[in-house]
Amino acid sequence: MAKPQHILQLSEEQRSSFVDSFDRVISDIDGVLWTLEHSVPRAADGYAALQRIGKQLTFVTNNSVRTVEQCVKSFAKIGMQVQPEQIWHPAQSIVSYLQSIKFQGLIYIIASQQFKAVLREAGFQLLDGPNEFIEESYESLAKHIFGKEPVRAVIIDVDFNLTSPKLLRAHLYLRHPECLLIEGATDRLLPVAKGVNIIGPGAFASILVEASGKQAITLGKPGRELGDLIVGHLKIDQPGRVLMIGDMLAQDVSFGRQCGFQTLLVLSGGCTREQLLAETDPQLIPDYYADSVADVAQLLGEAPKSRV
Amino acid sequence: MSSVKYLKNMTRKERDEFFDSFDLVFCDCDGVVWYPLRDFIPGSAGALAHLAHLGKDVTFVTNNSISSVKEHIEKFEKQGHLKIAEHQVVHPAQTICDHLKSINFEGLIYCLATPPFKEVLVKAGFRLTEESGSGIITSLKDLHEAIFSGESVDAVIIDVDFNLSAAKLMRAHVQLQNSQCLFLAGAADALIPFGKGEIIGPGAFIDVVTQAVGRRPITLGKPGEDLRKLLLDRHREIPPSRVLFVGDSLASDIAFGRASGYQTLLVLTGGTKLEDVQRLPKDHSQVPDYLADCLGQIVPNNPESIDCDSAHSA
Repeated sequence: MAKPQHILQLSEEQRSSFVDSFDRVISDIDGVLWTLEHSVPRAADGYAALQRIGKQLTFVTNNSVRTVEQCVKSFAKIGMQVQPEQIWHPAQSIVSYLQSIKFQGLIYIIASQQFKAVLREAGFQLLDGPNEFIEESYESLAKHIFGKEPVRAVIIDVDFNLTSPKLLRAHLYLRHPECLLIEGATDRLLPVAKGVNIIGPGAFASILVEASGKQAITLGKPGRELGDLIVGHLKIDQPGRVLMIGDMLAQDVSFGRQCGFQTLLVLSGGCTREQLLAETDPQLIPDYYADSVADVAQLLGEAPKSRV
Repeated sequence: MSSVKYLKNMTRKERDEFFDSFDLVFCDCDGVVWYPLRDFIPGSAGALAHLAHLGKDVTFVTNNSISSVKEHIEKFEKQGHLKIAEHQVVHPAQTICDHLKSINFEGLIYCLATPPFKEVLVKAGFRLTEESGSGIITSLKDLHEAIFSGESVDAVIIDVDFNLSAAKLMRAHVQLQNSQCLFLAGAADALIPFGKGEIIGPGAFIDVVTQAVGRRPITLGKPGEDLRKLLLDRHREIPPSRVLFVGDSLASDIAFGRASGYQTLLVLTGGTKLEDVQRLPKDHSQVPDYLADCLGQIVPNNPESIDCDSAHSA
């Protein structure tokens, strides 16, 4: 089994062939540029170095709770100029997907307000709720979960107010043979602080997959449908000349490998060096790794190695 | 399917042999004795009286903790004119309560269940956490508060909770990262029959926490391993082959009963249709030994059981 190489341990020759081996970088955001608590030191230097040698940058995040505008502002705060078109997040990807299949039906959605706003702005009709706790009886449950509306797609992403009645209601809509199941972010556990993980939306989406027997259409990483959408949109005809950068094995590395991209894992977010080295699934082992994106700047000879 | 014996097609002799083949009956309630949360199914009271008349011991094994053991007994009395003793009703609130007593548990409990379930624990003297934040979560800060604030607990219990939320499950997950914290589950059905179909059951949510934490709960509702062992233990004097498990769910009753080596009887008055049984491969773990349209069919020439067809379409 090939072991991933630390980019700062590459020989001179390996270094230059690596740098020449890609034209485009697709990068994750959370855990790479910043965590919930702080920004990753000198991460901006890494991207600046990449841009200076002509690499094109696209950011693909699973986080739709933050709007694209907020994201652009956060980039600006650490000195990066990023255009909204360079940022992909599940709400936007789902809109693109639904438009690509000319979807016109009613949607039942479990997601954040921000996420719903993106779909509403694109003209889609949404149902949601119950948005308050229900009276604790089977009668009341029945009233809240059996809907006669002709829902033809169930969408699930991060919802801080997700409840069991919402999932039960979604499952009942999915009994209709034409009702699609679409998921955004797939993370089963989400790192919110050092060593602290919370249960992510992927775990709840799996409940719907299991109960309905339907495959989900996945428009967050590592979704196949998201890969198709991005490869098509960016007109990538040589996937091997794309470098995927991210901090999560199950989302970023797996997504990159599935698309045929090269992969670089950074240890500044949700994966430790021990976890990386213990991984045995080839689909989750990156080609390269680095302590953080700042190492890319160092590799390209732009800045001293950061010691965090 | 071919190996399943349909009660209504059995000869007199086969029936006699069937009744001679068991001494103890474990019987589900919802979808078997009565329609879920409603009235007795025609014929079932007669069938239970018939079993008592034949000298069979009957214990009711239900996953429904919405009604207390006392309420179950009153319902049997009032609607079925049947006298049932307390020890004859097994439900998760009670089995969990008994388990906690047996280990002299004295700590604080985070309990995700219905109010009647919690009442059983409170009445037995156990301490439950205060309900925290039922408010709407609008920010990561709120979420953080809902998950991480509040006292640390010594046990987490998950059963049916009508308002189970992501935040509650996350709090359970965080508490369970302490390896000393007990993890208990009640009803663990992946799906439960409801109305004309099935809805997602507590088992799906228990699995989410199990996977996140990386350890399994002690499961004292169907189809939990620990309940299975508890039932075997309670009746060690009776060989499992002389026990009949009656239920309406392939996963929660039939597979559960078969795993203990019990004989099994599936009734079609609840969540399972004949086609569901016919679809199963012959050696599948959910194939019952016997099949009846309704419980009443176990009584020979029961006039009420003629209504079986109308009974299970109701």
